[in-house]
Amino acid sequence: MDADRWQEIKRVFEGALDLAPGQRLDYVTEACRGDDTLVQEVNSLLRSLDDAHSFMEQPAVGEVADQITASPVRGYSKGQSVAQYRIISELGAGGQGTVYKALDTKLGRTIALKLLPPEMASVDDTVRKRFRREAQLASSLDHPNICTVHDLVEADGAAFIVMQFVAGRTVRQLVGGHPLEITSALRIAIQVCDALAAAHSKGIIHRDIKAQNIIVSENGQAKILDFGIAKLIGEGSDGKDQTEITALGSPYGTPTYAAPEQSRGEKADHRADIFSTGVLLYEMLSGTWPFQGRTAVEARHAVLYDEPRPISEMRGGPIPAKLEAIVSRALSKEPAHRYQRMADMRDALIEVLRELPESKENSAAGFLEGFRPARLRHLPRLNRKLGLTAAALFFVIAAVVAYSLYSRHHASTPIAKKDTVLITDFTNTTGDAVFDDTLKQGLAMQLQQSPFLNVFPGARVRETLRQMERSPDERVTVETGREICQRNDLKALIAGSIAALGRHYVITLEAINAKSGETIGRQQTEAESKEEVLKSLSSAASGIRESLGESLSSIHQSNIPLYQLTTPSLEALNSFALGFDLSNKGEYFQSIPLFRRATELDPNFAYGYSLLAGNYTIVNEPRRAAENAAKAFALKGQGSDRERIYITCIYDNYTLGDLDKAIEALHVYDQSYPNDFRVSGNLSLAHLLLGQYEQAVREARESVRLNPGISAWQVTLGTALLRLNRFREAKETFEHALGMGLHDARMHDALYQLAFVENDEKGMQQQLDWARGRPEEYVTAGLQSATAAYRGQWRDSQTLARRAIDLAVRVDVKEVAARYAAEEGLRAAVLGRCDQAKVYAEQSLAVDHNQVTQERIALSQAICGDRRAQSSLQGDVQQRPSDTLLNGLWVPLVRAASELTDGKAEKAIASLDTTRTYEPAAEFWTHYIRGQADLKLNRGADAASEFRQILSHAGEAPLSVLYPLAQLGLARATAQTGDRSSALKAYQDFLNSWKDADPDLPILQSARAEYARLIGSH
Amino acid sequence: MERDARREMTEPAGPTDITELLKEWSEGKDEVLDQLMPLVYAELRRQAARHLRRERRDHTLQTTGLIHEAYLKLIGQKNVKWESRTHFFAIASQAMRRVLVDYARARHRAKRGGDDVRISITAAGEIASETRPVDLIALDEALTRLAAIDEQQSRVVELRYFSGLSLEETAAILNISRATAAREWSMAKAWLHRELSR
Repeated sequence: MDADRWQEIKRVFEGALDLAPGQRLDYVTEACRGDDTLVQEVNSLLRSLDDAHSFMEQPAVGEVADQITASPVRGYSKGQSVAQYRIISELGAGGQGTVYKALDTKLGRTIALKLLPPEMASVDDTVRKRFRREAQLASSLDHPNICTVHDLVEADGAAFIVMQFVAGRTVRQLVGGHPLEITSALRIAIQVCDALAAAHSKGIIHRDIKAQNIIVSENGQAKILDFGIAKLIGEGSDGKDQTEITALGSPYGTPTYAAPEQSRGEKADHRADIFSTGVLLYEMLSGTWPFQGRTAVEARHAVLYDEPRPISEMRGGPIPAKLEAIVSRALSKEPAHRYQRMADMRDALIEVLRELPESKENSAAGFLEGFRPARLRHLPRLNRKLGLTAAALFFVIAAVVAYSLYSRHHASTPIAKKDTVLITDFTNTTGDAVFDDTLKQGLAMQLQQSPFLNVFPGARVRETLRQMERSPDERVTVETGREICQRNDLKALIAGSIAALGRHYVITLEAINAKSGETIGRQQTEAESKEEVLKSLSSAASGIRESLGESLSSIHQSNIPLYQLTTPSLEALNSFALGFDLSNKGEYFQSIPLFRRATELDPNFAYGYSLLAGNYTIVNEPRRAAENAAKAFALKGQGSDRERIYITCIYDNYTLGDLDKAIEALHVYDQSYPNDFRVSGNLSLAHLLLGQYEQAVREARESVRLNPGISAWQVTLGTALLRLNRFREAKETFEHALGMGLHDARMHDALYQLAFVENDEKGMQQQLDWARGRPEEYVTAGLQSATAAYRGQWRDSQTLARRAIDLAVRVDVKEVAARYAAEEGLRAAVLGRCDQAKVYAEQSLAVDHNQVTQERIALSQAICGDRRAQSSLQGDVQQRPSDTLLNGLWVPLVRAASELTDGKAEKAIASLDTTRTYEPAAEFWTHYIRGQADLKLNRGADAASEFRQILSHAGEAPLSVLYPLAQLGLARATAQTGDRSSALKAYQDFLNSWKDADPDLPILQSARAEYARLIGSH
Repeated sequence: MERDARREMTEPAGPTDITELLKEWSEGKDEVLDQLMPLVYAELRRQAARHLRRERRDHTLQTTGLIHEAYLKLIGQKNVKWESRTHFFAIASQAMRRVLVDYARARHRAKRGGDDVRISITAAGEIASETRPVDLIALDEALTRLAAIDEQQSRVVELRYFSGLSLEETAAILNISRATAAREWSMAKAWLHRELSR
């Protein structure tokens, strides 16, 4: 319209305005002078003005305010109280109710209170219960990225959800119609994925993931809100899914975010959350939605049938092709075409984040890049190794728990770089000794969570100090620390200090470039009280990780605060830290009381219980280990999705003793999460237990390579080598480990056995000397008792066994005492002293009891023809129906022994048909019984072959009394076949082994007589 | 909006700068508007956000109140000469229009996102009984078209509707008579209403 025309219209219109409405029409017709178009134009404007009524009468701001504030049905204002909650302020209103910040006056904490719309408040009990359960289940995950729901309360006719207060902005607010930075979007999405993965592993589906349900705090931590709420509004009283329950409700998630199957009202599984997360990611990257519509119906239609436009197009800028592909896959219409597991999507996103050219991850690499790609990782000294017993199963459990608590997430990101930093001793100017080792240990544990960092192990620090000709226990200052770093090619060290400031404490952490001495980053936090120190240390540690270049997303994914990871009690952590260090060195008799004290100070100290369980296993106390492992399990509650999968499969299998399945599960786990070094440690132990020594060596070597400072794995490696008769390598392994300053008694135990096989009396004596006066002296007393029995010095053996039992009881390892008694009883049985065997069995049971002692008692009963032998193991079999070794080895072994005693040699051999797989773990028993049966059946050749199996595998049980008895067996077998020279030699070997034996032993007397006959027969 | 949001993040200019800029602008230096507008916009946005977030049960929210607050914040008490205030309002009304339309856009997007589908149904139901809600986005577009035909009318609408000023204040700021202001307002209303009813 040109200006002149407008002026004409304006002139006529304004003229008409001055007139009364009834006169206007005529006036217009006249004023337009036959210009019909003009008449029409002016009249239409006049009509419009008449119709306009209230149009624009209320200022625009009122319009907006109306739209914003029209929704709440009812509201509460500041100071009002609802049940025990006092309203502090309104946080916002949304489709699912108004949210208030409120104070829980009972518990004195700030919470968020969500007032549910009436249509949600009126659901019936079944639905409410279900909501409660789901919300509690999700909260119980205690995942850092899940907003905890405390309760669902009803007060003055309304329903409220009481949840954790999270300060921050929703993703919707962050996006506000504009794309986010790719890194920000990825970091948020990764956290969301991780939380959902954890929830999914518990069978919880969110069903309503959307931008408004994700809150991002100022420091970038994302929290998912409203777990369980979709369920609350989504299901009717009959519990069946409904498509639309009210005009207000959209039960299958919010239309734009709902997966196609949700939109169709079909049953949706966890893959619906994967779809919704895809929508969320699309929105963060593009600023808009992949599926849009003016109404809910239109939006659902788009979800079902439309393909989203490429993100790069909507974003107006490029995004990585991989990222576009991830979103596209998540948004597949068909659930089967999406990611099948949330964790996979998460890992794919992490991959993209890592590959971003300007991302922080790479600046992280900037600092960390120059690092030697060290794979060393200092681990809790969880000694996933056992002596020789199946009791070690519990140890594995403990180890698993411990790792899950200790280093969860550490490998959940496929970040290959793992670089090592040294932590110096804290400068403690507070005068309070409780901080001395505690803070260093605490910091190490906090930092270990990082996928980027490893902490240089204490054992290596001591080793380096020794090389520097300094005391291994010297305080590590920054100066000393830099030298240690340079000798070990470490690029950085972290120095900490704590100082008192009035009643407050100031904690300072400083990351220092080892070479230049320059400060890389510095964090200072203040704690208001002693109780707050661990919290402050945790936050300083996060800051240090960031200044070392680790990305925020990585930090947030693996940053359980120390007090949650371990304990909020400084004293408990102090005991724990001291115990941890001693446990690392193998000083279990010092570490056990400290761990025990730590768990007494904080009865919820899960990690404390699990290390206690590990320690008990090492000292051969499987029952106590089991008790503590169970406590740890009951308290685990904070692992990631991955750890839960790991714990669940391993725990289930190991508690049941199903080692075959355990190994299978570990391999499956390894496929999903490769390079998890815990896998090698656990595998080596399982293989060792099963007698699969080659595999045990292979896996143990890997675990030792990754973590040389852990005595437990060194022991596993050395023991497996010993079993394979690889005596020299075994000896080197133990000596090297001892050289590292480890004091594990089991190393001395094994070295004694090695010296024994090599007839090295001096070597044996060295180990006895080592133990003298130590609490572990019972170990060598037990070895001496076995040695005497091996030599046929039965009286000495019994004396020594009594001493071993006494020593064990004295240091409160009663399960070990019980085991010594049971083992001595078994020797008595095989030596033909069944009266004594019975006494030992009773003694054993009087001292203590566990499955290991029970297996030995049952076998000795079988050998002695005691009818109770079979039922002896019934209790254990019922408790552990799929225990591999119990069912695969001990039950048939006991049966075969009974049958042999009954003279049913054929049957005995048949009973042992199934045990062949586990024979290397049977400590010669299967071969021995089969050999005896063959002798009875006059099958000399078969018998000889069985006994030769024993004689050629001394390492499997170097001190077993069955070894000399196998020499005798071979003599008899070869005599049967007429191989006189072999028989003579075998008799001589046996008589030589027993040259100092008690002369009145019936076996010796028979052997001498047989030998004499054989000589005489020529 | 992202751009504006970023401006909002920057330190607000001191009162002197604003006064100086306003003076320059009133002297005909149109180019300073580019510097002035973001500052005013940011401040108004802050004020509006503060007020709008508060629940508005009593319907007493005054746009002028918002602008006054923004003015005081930006210019300070000491310099309350009517002249500079006039200039300020002239600018503020444009800024306010942007603030409010941006709000409306955000709400609209939110609705399309699905989140507020539920709310809007409730809201619409309540509002329908009193007045029809105005589609601010459509109005904004129509107003831009109007400005191309009749600049003064569009300014009247900005001052009246978006800044909530009275006819007198509007007239004073535009330096026209009250009667003219009233006629311009009526015609603009008629035209815009027709545009929005199409």
